[in-house]
Amino acid sequence: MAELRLTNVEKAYDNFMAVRDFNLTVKDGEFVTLLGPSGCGKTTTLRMVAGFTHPTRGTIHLNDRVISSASQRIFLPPEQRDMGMVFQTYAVWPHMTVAQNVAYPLKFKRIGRTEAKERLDKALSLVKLSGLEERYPHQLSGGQQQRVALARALVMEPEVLLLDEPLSNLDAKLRESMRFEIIELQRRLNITILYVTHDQAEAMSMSDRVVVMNAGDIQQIGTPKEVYQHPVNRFVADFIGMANFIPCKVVEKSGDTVRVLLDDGYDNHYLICPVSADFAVGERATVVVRPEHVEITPFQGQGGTSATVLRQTYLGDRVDVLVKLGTVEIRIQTHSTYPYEIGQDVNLVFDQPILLKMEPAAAPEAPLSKAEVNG
Amino acid sequence: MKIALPRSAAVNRTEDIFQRVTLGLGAVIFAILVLIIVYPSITLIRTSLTVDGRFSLQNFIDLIRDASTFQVLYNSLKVSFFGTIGATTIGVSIAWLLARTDVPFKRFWQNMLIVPYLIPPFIGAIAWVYLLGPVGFVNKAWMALTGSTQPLYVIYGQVGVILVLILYNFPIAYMVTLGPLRQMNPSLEEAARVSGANTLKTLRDIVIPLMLPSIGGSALLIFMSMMANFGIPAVIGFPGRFFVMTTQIYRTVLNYDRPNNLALAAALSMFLVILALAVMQAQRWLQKGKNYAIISGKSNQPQLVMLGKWKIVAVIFLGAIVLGAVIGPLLAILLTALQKAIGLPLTPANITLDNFTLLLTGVPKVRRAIVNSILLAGGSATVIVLVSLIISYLLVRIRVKFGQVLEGLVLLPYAIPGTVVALAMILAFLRPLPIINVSIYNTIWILLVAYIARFMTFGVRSINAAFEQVHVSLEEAARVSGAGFLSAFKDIVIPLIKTNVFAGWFLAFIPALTELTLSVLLNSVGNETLGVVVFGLHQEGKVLLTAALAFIVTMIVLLMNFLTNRLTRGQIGF
Ligand SMILES: Nc1ncnc2c1ncn2[C@@H]1O[C@H](COP(=O)(O)OP(=O)(O)O)[C@@H](O)[C@H]1O
Ligand SMILES: [Mg+2]
Repeated sequence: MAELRLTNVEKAYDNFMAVRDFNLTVKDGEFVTLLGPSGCGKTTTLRMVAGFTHPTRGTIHLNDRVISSASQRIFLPPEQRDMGMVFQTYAVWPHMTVAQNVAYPLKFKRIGRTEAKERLDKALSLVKLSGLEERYPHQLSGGQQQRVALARALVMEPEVLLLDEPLSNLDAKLRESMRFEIIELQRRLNITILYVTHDQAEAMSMSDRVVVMNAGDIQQIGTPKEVYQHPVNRFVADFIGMANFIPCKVVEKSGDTVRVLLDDGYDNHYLICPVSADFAVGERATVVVRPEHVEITPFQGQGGTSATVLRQTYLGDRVDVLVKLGTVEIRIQTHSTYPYEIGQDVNLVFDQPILLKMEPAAAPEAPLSKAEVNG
Repeated sequence: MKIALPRSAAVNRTEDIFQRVTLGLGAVIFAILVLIIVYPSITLIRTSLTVDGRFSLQNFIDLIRDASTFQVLYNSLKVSFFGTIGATTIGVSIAWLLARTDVPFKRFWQNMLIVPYLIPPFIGAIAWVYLLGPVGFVNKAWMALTGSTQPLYVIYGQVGVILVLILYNFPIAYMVTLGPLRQMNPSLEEAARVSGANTLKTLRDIVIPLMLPSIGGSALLIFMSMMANFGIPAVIGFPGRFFVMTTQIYRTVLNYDRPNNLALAAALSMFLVILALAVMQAQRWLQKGKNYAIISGKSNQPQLVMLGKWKIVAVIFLGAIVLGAVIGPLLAILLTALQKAIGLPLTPANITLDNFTLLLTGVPKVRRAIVNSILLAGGSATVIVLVSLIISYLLVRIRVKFGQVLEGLVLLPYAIPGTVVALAMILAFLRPLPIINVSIYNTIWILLVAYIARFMTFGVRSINAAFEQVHVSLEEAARVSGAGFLSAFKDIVIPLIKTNVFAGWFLAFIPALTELTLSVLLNSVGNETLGVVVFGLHQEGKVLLTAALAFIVTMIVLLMNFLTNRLTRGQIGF
């Protein structure tokens, strides 16, 4: 049973806010990922949970125990938090063998020899390193070093596992297979995981829930499906997957849908969007359409919206087409292999449109970073 | 000398001529190095193996029969061993405190802790005599306070030697380990923390083992520096009749009454030479094994260890070191130099600048020594830089075969103890040089030769680094831009290596200015150096004059270092 709760957590460096008003509960056995661009405060948040960084405000609970609290001046050092952690640079100790690395955390627990050996063997077999006990890190590949780091984090069977971009130093193929191995491990051990990445595909494929962050603020918390299908703002829509943004105006409301008029220079393209927020008739808004949700067909004259092909790029499994619709450009990804020509007229059908409130134009964002720290 | 093929096949005429000239000069320089390094080395070895003009092991047999040989060898090993442990522990602890903890006043400590490295060790030793000699300030204060008639502690003897050796050698360990400690990937430590290790266990299990190559390297350097030190055991050891290898060799050389004294000294030197070569080899071996990838690519802001209540302990520790190595000694020298007479209480009425006036006007030896030392240091530094330019070009750019031999040759006179170098010079140049039939023995020239040989490595190292920085592609880029070989050299290479050339000059000049170990054996009447005069005045018991001159010398060294640092915008000097 391990539940991690962050309440109003904030970290300020001098006058720079690295993390602002962070609220999150990671439930027992849940896999939660902090996702956002470099410098948005993911590592800072994770390190506050691990106990390397003192929050300047707020409280962190592990189950019902306060492990960090700025106001109560409670701050449990990392070695007393019983969490496992995997670092971006692996941090495998070069002067110790695989076995010594992995068994190191056992030194600090009252554990008999035989049990220690059992735990070591178990951790090594979990990450498929059995047989490499006596190797030194420089005799291992990057992927194997990564597994050593993972085994070392798991050997104490911690209730909470923290991972900071653990796959970012691996090559693409290995990265993908490690994703599945980590998910598999989590299922088997039923461990609570807080994971950090800037790679949205990684976050989407692994997590139960995703926390999308930008410039120190949480933008949205939700399942991968929720943040993809119902992004709450332009940043999330743009960061999770690809998105076309088309300005529009609400012209009609009926129940939980609204009809909008696209602001594309034609003044006669209408779209029905499901909404959860409250929109007023006449309100300006933005329609988000994912490139993979635009149906494209050669121009037939009937239905849909017509546009002109500007460019098309062959991507192997799909084709990326850029079209011009009046005053806006729209990107489309289709699996059809129809050979469009540049300048050809096409028909578009927008599927699953998402309506977003207008955002104050170019809200000044917090400066991203002074010097980027630790990726 | 043969050359490896230049990288580019398109060697044009100017470049070709330039390389030929360099190689020609290289040959001349090689001949000079043979004369001032190889020839004295061979002479030293030969002398140790010669009795009455014939090959013999008798010198060694005599030494082995003499119990005092083992006593001084044992003394040397003992003070160096304990001194190394002390200095390494202190130096590494300081480096760790400054690099990885939140100890306050870092800038102040950093500036202060470099000073003991700059103060000539024999001056540090003299200052400690003023503090803990039989009538030193500390002992007098003790007697005044307690009414005791016995001094608290008299520094003369082996413990004193170890103490002062530690105070003037710990900066080596501090400087060698500071960089690696700063660059160590902090995740390595953090991984230990989440594994359950607290700060101390992380230090014990992760930081110290990972730092072992650097710590070991600095310990070797310190050990050899202590074995080779002459000034400290001379100042602190002589009065207590405590002798080590270097001081014993010195006494043997000066013991004209003893038959065969130079040959015996040469034989005694062999112990030190073998040890020095072994240490050199050990260091090379350590460098090779040093392939831990503990340094992360990114610039990290390592998490600093919060000292909490230990902060006070750390500050007291650093404060004690600064007091013992810098403030105490400098103050002792200054207060002694300002006294009207030894032993007077320190009241304003007893304070005077007369010692300085007398020193500079009344003692001709001092003025001569100032001029001699400046000429010798300036002359040797200039020769060193010019020669180093050519040697470095041959080593780094042309990559001559036997480059390693050349490098080893240049390092040799610095790697072996100065006392031994001086003895080798005496033996080599005692008689007139063959062919030209000129003798440089008992002239200032033997000092110049010895300084050049001894400090050459500073010039070569800093100019090597310069040529290595200036990658050939920079020159090549100039060439494809249309510059000829000489223009490329003038516009690209020279501006880029300027700072290092300058650095090489100062790195040789500063230690040469206060040199004692070589000079004390090689000087002659009229050719005294600053180091020799300070040492001589001290031996003669002219306390006030010694203190005044020691103070002037120390200030000059600190000032020169400061100027170098400013002129090179912080790249060189401290
Ligand atoms: N020790 C520090 N001092 C000052 N600023 C810091 C420090 N650590 C991190 N930051 C800043 O906080 C912001 C968030 O950093 P970080 O959490 O490492 O981002 P991420 O992991 O999301 O890339 C960055 O702008 C970074 O520059
Ligand atoms: Mg990060």
